[in-house]
Amino acid sequence: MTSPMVAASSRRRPRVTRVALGVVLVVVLVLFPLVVPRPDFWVVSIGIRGLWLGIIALSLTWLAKHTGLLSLGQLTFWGVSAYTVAILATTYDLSYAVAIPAGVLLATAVGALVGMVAVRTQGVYFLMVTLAVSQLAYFLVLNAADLTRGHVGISVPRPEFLGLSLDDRNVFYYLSLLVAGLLFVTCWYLSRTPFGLALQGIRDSPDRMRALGYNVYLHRVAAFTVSSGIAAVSGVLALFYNGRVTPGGIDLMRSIEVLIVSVLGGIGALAGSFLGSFSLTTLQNFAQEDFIDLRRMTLTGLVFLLVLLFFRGGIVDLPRQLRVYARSALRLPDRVRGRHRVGSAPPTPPIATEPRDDPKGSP
Amino acid sequence: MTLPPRFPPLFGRLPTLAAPLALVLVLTACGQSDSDGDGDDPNLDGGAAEEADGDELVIGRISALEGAFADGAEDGERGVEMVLDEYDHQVAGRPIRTIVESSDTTPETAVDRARKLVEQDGVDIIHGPLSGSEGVALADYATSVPDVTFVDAASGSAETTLEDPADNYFRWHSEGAMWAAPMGPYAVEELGYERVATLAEDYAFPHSQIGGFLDGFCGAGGEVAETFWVPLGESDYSSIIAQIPEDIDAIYVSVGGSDAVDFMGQAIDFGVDVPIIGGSILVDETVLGAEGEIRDAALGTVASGSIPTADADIPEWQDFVSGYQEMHPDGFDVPSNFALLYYNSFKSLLLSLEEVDGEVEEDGGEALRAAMTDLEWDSPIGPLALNENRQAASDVFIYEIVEDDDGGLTTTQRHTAEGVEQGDAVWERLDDCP
Repeated sequence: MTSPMVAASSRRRPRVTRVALGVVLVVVLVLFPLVVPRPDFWVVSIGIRGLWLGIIALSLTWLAKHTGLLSLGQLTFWGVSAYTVAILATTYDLSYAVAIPAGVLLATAVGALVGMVAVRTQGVYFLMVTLAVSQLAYFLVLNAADLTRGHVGISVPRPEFLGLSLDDRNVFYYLSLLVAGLLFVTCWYLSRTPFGLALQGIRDSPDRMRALGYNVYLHRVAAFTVSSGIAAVSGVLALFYNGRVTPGGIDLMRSIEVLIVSVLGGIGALAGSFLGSFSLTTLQNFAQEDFIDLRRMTLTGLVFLLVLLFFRGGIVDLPRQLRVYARSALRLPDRVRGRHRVGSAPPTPPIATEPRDDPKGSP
Repeated sequence: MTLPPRFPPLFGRLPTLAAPLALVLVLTACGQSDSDGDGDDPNLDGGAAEEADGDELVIGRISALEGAFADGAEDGERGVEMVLDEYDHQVAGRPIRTIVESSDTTPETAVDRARKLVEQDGVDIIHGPLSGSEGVALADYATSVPDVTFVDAASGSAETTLEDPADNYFRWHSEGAMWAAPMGPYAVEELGYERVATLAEDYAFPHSQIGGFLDGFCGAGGEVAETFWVPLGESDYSSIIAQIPEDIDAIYVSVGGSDAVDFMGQAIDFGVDVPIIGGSILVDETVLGAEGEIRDAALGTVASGSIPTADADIPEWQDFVSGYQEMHPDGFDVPSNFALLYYNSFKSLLLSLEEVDGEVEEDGGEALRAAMTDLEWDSPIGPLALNENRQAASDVFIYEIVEDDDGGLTTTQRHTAEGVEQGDAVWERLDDCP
């Protein structure tokens, strides 16, 4: 009787706050470089790093959310684009105007090729195939020293455009923010296109979609290609952030780090990628201040475990999760009493008559 | 029907994003202001220059406490502790505080840590890192912060001080090619090996070792029969060993860690019947502690490296070893090269700081860097001084694996190459005499 109203109001209220919150978030992100103390550190090491790490996590989250495919190989495309841009710009002396699009395109093409093979598998097999691809890329750049300079990697100067130089931290930050924003909106928009809806249908029931005439395989390949394109853009930003690209940037630990960012932020929501990347970046930068024994990786691992064990929805889902825990904590006394009743032989009548705690029983 | 509403679609949860974000920001901000308010950390706020009260001297350190070299880095820390202990944790009346940041041997992490130390903690001096490619990246970063003084801890890439060396980057130890260089002439002149094959892992460090070795070896009249390159982590050497030519005097091997154990273990089995000579990573505790076939292959191996053997007749080195053993009963039996290199570099830094009365903030570290350029001192492995690229020349040691009194394996000193200078080439993968 009251439920329709409850539902309606609960649906409407978040929508208003959501818009308000979105505006606040955008304002905060835009003002960020102007208000933080020590901008050299905060804008660069937290801001820009958080943004490019967020973008690659976005590529993983978008793919996982819409196709159910969890990839450990996103850094492959990140690496392909970073290396392509670096090699074209240094060894072949091409301008960034050519090198950057070429890098992103090549990485996306590689993504399509990998996708053609990888999406034939699912679940843990997909995870393994993408992991294998990223390891392949790692050892390839490590060993193709003539092209990639092996361990040492390739250094590049930061580009200038329209009289603005990426050496200026604010220019770099706002450019990254703009790119991140555009990609975020693109992902969000794609989710609502027929393509995005078909993907979600395929995720939920590939057989039914196949019966409806959709080409499941092609849809998955397309989705994988889109996500590798997003990862490629992140690779270009990271190349200029680090000023270089080395095999260390795409090793196994980094691949896992991307997964951790997505899971930490919340793999079910696109915004989670950026929440996760900012949180992890902050955590890693401050973890060691006074706890040198608790090393960065150890701490990252512990946080990952905590999230997996107790907060599966990640940061995005934290408030709901906390509410659930709070609610069950409130019910604890009842349950203790309830159990006591079952356990002790002579039942105490007043409590026994109260069938309170049985949500499954209600219609 | 009065059930709580099901979880709304994920996007309905956007409002809840603010809380954690705010929490994270608030927490970090608090963390910051806490230290700001704390009189003990004057350098945590504002540029260190204006606000340091002249008392505490903060030194940022980057050490590879995670990843493949964690054990080595731990031992390096022991070397630094020895220096701090020697100086009673102060220099020129200023107490020393170190902020240790851990890297994982990747250049990206090393630069991130350095950036944090410089821009967040406001340090004027950075001591680190451990591994070669980290050093190249840090020296690159150093050019963008000219007022910060960098002292390399143990990294061994030639590029660091050869290609556009940064004015504020100092390296008090030799690099990979220098550690291998004396072995070339020694093999020809002392051991009488005129024709060798080489076997090495295919990455930067062994590239430079083979380069350093062949440069001297060919210069002394030696010739190369064949070169073999294996990927890092190769465990099966049978096919390589089968291809080793018959007419060679020795095989020069530069593989390390578990690869060295695998190679040594298979060498006799698959018919290596020529002497093995080696690079500075070939002989370590695992090889020396081995039994059976590895033992037979390892016995008699001659190699070169950055530190003397335990029995070396060098008083300063023996003092260092006993000091190490006394202070770190939980450490290795004999200090590793990381303990020594960290010790040397950190002590060079403190010696220079003493020269300038511990003053680094006011002149942007200029006096410190000048003092360091002029510094010469006698380290546990002999005299150290820098060249015009701020790269040290140092002694390199050649030793042989022999049987000790208990029938185990140990190393004995054969030769000391004095004051080995850095060459002028960054060696890439060589397939013949350079």
